Amino acid sequence: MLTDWWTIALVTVGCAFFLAGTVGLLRFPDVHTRLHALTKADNVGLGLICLGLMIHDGTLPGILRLGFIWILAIFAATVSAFLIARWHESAGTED
Amino acid sequence: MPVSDLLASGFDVLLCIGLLWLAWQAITGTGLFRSVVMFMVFGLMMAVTWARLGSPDLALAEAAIGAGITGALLLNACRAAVSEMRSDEQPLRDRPSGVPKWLALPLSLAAGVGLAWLMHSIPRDGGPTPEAAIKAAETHFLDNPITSVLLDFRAIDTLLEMAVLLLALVGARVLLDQRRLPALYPVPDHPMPMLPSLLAMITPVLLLTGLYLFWAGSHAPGGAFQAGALLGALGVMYQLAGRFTPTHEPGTVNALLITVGLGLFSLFACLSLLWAPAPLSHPEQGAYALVLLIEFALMLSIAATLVLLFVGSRSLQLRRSTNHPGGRQ
Repeated sequence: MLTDWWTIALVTVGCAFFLAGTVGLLRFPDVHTRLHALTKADNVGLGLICLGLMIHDGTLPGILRLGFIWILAIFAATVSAFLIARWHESAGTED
Repeated sequence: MPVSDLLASGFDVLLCIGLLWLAWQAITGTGLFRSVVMFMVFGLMMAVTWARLGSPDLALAEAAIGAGITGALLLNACRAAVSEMRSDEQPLRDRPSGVPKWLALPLSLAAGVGLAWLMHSIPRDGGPTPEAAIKAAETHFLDNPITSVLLDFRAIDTLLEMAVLLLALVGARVLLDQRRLPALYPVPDHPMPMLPSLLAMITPVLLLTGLYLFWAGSHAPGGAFQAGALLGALGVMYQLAGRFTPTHEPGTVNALLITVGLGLFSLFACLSLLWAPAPLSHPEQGAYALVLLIEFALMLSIAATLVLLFVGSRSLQLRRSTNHPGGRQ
């Protein structure tokens, strides 16, 4: 099935983004670059995984729910990254 | 063995190892903060485990209460402990507590062995109870067997759980008054940018999800505890964003919110003696509406209690939004 291959491809690329984000979180030197790795890679990774699962699901309620999960995660990740960066600024410590 | 089964078993093995490792890290971690974060991740992994075991109700409760609200409470306590250590007072952990630390190991071992022995004494097939419960659940007026157990078969357990929750809040209040801990999370004077927009977006979503879980509880995974935890999480966010002001005079609304669950449930237990020989029996007519009413009251009380436990004050007041445009803390 062609759709199955699309799902496998999208989810695999999404997982690769997660892997890259995790490596970045572990290896990058300071708070800002780590946040960059985490939020960017996780958002794209989760988006791709959700997209792959949407193709696999194929029903409208399922697609809407998966899209909703992605949007909620993006919102939460944005604000938490902002709060961590702001805490880092106010603490004024080099990490 | 097909490949999918092999993958699933591999995932389960990874989950088991991860759980054990996280638990070990949470106990033996070097810092308070690190341990708390490990505990929260442990809660999330536990939720995934419950979902794998086919218990979505427990998974929801574990994610919302075990990882979310308990994590927030622990972070709060961690912060209070750190600020107390920094102040001139004698640090928390150096005070003589009267109970030697090593007692924890034999006590928890004894509790574990006792529980294991109790479990062992239950017949392997569970005796006549499971069959009777499954049979009764099939014709029950609530379609969700979990909810019929919580609010009918074993309603006394739920009633006592609510009493425990209320006692926990009262106990926390007594301890806070005695110790005069520093005010946890002072309300920020200037709202942070981005937080109001997150709140504006998350409020309807959490309200909808919480009320849906409450409503779904009668026929699908969900119920008062999960819904209450979600609404409690919303309250915690409101407090952190400075929308709630902690007050030291207990307000009427707050007192009502805390006690309405236990109060209504106890009232039902007494009133049910009018139509049944045993307390907590449901009437022939209108049982469904009664369950919904009690569940709603339980949800409100759980949410209010969790928020007040987190804030550590007697009550809360919604304050008028004071927007300082461009204000930075």
